[in-house]
Amino acid sequence: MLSNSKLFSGQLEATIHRAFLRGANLRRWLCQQDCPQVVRDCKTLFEKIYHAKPDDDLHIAEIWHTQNEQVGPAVPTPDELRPLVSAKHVQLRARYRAHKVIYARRTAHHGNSLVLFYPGGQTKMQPAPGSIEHIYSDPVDGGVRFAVRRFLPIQVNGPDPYTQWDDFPAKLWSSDQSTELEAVEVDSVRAHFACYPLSEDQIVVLDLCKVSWISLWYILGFNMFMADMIFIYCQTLYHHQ
Amino acid sequence: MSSPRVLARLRQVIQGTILPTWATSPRPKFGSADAGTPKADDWRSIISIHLPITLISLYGLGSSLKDDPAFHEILDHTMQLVCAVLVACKRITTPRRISKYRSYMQSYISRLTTIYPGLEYQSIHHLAFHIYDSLKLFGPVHSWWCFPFERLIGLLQRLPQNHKSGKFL
Repeated sequence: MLSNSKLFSGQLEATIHRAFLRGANLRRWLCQQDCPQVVRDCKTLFEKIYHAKPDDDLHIAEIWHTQNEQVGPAVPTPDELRPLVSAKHVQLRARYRAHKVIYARRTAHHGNSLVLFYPGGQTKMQPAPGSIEHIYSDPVDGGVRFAVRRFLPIQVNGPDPYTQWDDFPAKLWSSDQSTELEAVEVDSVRAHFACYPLSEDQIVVLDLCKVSWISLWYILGFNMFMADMIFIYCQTLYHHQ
Repeated sequence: MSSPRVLARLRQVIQGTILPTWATSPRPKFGSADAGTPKADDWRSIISIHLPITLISLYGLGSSLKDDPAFHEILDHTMQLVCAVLVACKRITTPRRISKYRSYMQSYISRLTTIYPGLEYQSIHHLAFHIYDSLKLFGPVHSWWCFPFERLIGLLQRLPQNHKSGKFL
């Protein structure tokens, strides 16, 4: 891919290529054990300089925590988790990454703990809002599950003003939550939701799903199909050389 | 719409809304010089999350201004733009969503000069209808919007070799 300039043909591409490689090598060096500590201390500064907004830093911090979190040994099962986990000890974690999205328990990050989920995995039902209180590994099959505390529905005087527009998926809910936890499969989670406390007893729940439930699987399937096609195409090129 | 009351409530909503880390939250002092120039991502968060919540809480059913037809018309008109943005930014595009985008945008733009007398149509209003064509031709906006290219431009601008002919790393 050469530029149109006859004088500096290829220099744009070379510049981008070398800048990318230098940045990658620097980031790699900062993560290596043999990097001097005084240089590694600059890592935090680099991340603050080269990321535009504090929120980006927060998201990168969450990704880092998720990737580097060690799932510790099993701990005594918390009392509120006993109805869901019969074993005396259970493995807990603060964060879990699924489908490129980070979920966290409420004590780790409130925003990442707020999820809309399908009760019982029934995707034809209306999703319910809840907060993830625990992320645990089921002792029976080892699968990761969320222990979610549901928000309660609310009775409003008259129609809910936030449901007036079909394509703005917001609704009023009570700020009170159920006293019991529910076990929710990771695949039963629809998406995060934005939560605005409208008053002491009311919250606005805004669905942040960017795709529909069925469409998410379509995307995953389509991406796998495209990956296969590209692989086969590359193999064909290789054999023809 | 730019009244101090709306702006104050908008800032309250920005500060009070709890979001996941992947969702952009604008600066709490949005609209003031201290907050800096809002980025395109900030505007997207404002129009899709914070502004609708703000306006519905001020002008929607249940508020003190719910019976004022003028304010309710402003709210409904703004929600046409909100819904157009939300529909257009979905990761999956369907003929129904494309058609909805055009309907929302048509409703929003056709009422602009009525609700805001003195406002003139700009070329950007015409361009908004071509997004309908692009959705039909190219699919979801994430495949063809300019944000990755803008980020690359920003990266190139920060290189020390910028503005120096014939130089590269």
